[in-house]
Parts: sequence; structure tokens; C-alpha cells
Amino acid sequence: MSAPLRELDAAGLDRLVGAGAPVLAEFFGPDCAICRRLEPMLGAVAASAGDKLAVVRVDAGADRALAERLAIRSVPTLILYNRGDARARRTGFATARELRAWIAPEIET
Amino acid sequence: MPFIELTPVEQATGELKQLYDEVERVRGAGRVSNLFKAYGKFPALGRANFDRLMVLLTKGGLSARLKEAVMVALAEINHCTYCVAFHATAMNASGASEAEILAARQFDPDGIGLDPKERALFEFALKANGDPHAITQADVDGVRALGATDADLVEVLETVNTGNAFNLFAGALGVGADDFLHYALDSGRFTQAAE
Repeated sequence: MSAPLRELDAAGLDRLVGAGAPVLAEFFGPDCAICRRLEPMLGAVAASAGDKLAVVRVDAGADRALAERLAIRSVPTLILYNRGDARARRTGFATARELRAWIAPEIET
Repeated sequence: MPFIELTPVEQATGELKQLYDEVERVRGAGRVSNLFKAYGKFPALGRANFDRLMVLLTKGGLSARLKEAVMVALAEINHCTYCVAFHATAMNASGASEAEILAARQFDPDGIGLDPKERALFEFALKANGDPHAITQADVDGVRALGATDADLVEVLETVNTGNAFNLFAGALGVGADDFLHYALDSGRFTQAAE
């Protein structure tokens, strides 16, 4: 009942964000247990949002320059983009209900 | 196929037969789940875990629907397809519709048919499962404000513990779905009425 999350590198993320549609990016680490528990929540949000929101994963440890540019200090970090800009960010675990409330202002406009 | 041999009910003897008899006494004939057949390799531990489950499901103050919904959500998180089917069936037996079961699988407390206190406890359970050390006093106060007692908190957290423990056990031993389950994971529909 959840959608698989696409994994992007920096170039892929920049292209997707630059297209202007809402994007929720999870910056994760491969050994991050909280990230693994967060991902089913993100998958459920992706499934319920459908084509109104792209939900993707980005390995924050694989590209230090990207992590530096986006000031990723801990994982998981979530950044919500819309119209090409970062509109909100949060760190740590969140339930699907919390995430749905968090993204609502961006995907309803 | 399970990764270990599961002893059929008709071949059980001694302590194992006592375990199977107790499971059938509570659940009905032919309803010894593969999980408890696997636990039957260590019958005393199987009995202790079945007793633990029965205390959780019969002694507490929270609804069966809430506890089964938490179990469904955990099974989805843990990718335990057998456990999703098992607890979806149990949730259905507690009166939940297919749509309400789907809501549990999508971690949506508002669609499960719970009252405000139990909606908050479902959310609390998911937060505790996600990162127990990130729970704050404000989280606890929030569910208390809706009427949850300390016993309710213990009960819902033990539901999380039990669900995770059984999911791990079922996954690591590949115990597989029981033949008395008729829940289609992809469609979220029951393919025949519960037996």
C-alpha cells in the first residue's frame, strides 16, 4: 500500500526540482535506522499524493558537495520543494499523518 | 516454504500438543497459525508468547480494532506480508471494513474508524516505533488530553513490541501465510468470507 521511492543523485534532484512541481526529498544515510523506519511513511504519502507530489530519496553520504550545499547536518532530513525552491525542511522521524499535514500547503496550491 | 519444518497439528505430542491445543481452544479448530507452529520448536517459549498475546488481546482496555490496526501497520512497515494478511483478517473480525484496513496499511488513523483517543494512540504507536527516543512529554500529554491513561500507553506500546517481535520471527523463518487466510495484499480485498 505504499509507492516505491525513486533514488536520485544531485543532478537528478536538481532537474526534478527545477521542473517546478512539488518534490519531497529524503536525504538518508545507508546505515540510518530511523531512515528505514521513515521510508514506509514516505511511501504511503507518495501513494496517497499520486502525481501531485514526487517523493524521492537522496543518499546524503554519497555526495558531500550536495550535502554541504543543502546544509544536511543529520539524517533523515526532509526538504519540501515547490516552484523550484525549498519551502520547508524537517529532520528525524515523522508519521505519515504528520507528513500529509506538512506537505498539504504546497500540494493544494 | 518455511525455512524450518513446521510440525502438523496431527503429529504433535507432549508439550507441543499442549501448545497447539491451547491455540485451537482460543482460535478454533484448524487455526494453529504457522507462527505458532514455528514457535512450537520451543514449546515453552511458544506457550509463553501465546499467553503474552492473549493477555494483550483480552485483558486490556483498548479496542481489538486499535490493536489489530497497529499490528497491520507494523506488518506493512516490516514488509511482513503474512502478518499483514493475518492481522487484516483479525481486524476484519473486529468489525473493520476493507477500506478501514487499507487506512491502517496507509498509516492513516483518521480512516480506521477509531474514536479520538484511539486515533491519537495509533499515531503515538507509530511515532514510538519510528523513533522511541524522540517521544516527548508533549506527545504523552497530547494523548492524555484525549483520555488515554498510563495503562493505555503501556498497552499500545506492548502492541508495538509484540507486533515487531512476531514480524521478525515470521520473516526470519519464512513461515508463510496460513491456509485459513483469504486476504489479497495487492487489492486489499478479502477473496472469501472469514472461516
